[in-house]
Amino acid sequence: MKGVKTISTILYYITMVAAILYLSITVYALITMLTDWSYVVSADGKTFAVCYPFTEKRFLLGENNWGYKLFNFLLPLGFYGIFFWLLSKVFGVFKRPKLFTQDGVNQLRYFYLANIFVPPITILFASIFAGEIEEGLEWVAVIHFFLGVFAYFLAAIFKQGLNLQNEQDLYI
Amino acid sequence: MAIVINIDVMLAKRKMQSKELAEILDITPANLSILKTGKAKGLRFDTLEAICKALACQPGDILEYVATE
Repeated sequence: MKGVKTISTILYYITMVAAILYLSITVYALITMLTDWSYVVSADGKTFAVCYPFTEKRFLLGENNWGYKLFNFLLPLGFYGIFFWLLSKVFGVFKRPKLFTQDGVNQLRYFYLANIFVPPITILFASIFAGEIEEGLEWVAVIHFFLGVFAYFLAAIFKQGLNLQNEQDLYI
Repeated sequence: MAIVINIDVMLAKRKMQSKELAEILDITPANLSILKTGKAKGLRFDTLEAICKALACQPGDILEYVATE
């Protein structure tokens, strides 16, 4: 298990950093949109650009309408921040001294529920309110669905492991 | 559970405290409490051997079968 703990510790910190980055960028982008700070709209008004802080170097680009900004820009960015945060929690489960815990089962449950339900709902709202969705996005939802199913199976295994461990703990 | 573990009786006879027995058995007081209160699912032979050795008794002195209807 030493190898598993080492790998899971590394991945825990990588995904936690990714989560912080995604969520920070989401908050930053929202602030720029609301305050026009480091925010540029094209001459024809069709596209916008979020610039790096205190610069005029373009960072993020998108269509200049609130349907796109919310459902094709902010929500995916924010949800990927949450995805990486939940993923870091899952890796955190594997780096603990005790593998089978109720908290571990709960973290896996949150992860599979998020992966199964959030992407299709987000794409549905995006297609309704933002019009066209970006090409290939539906396949992203399919990949997340299968990832969620895999996590669901893993949660079932962990739940069984937890039950067996609790029963074993009652053998003195 | 139909099998009852009567450790308290032997502890009283040997004038030993639960905490002392737990230390001798190298188990936590919580686990010894699980044993005494009948919540244990099973008892390992090496634990039974250690209990008998610590309390200078036979397995029959601490294990009792109580028929449940």
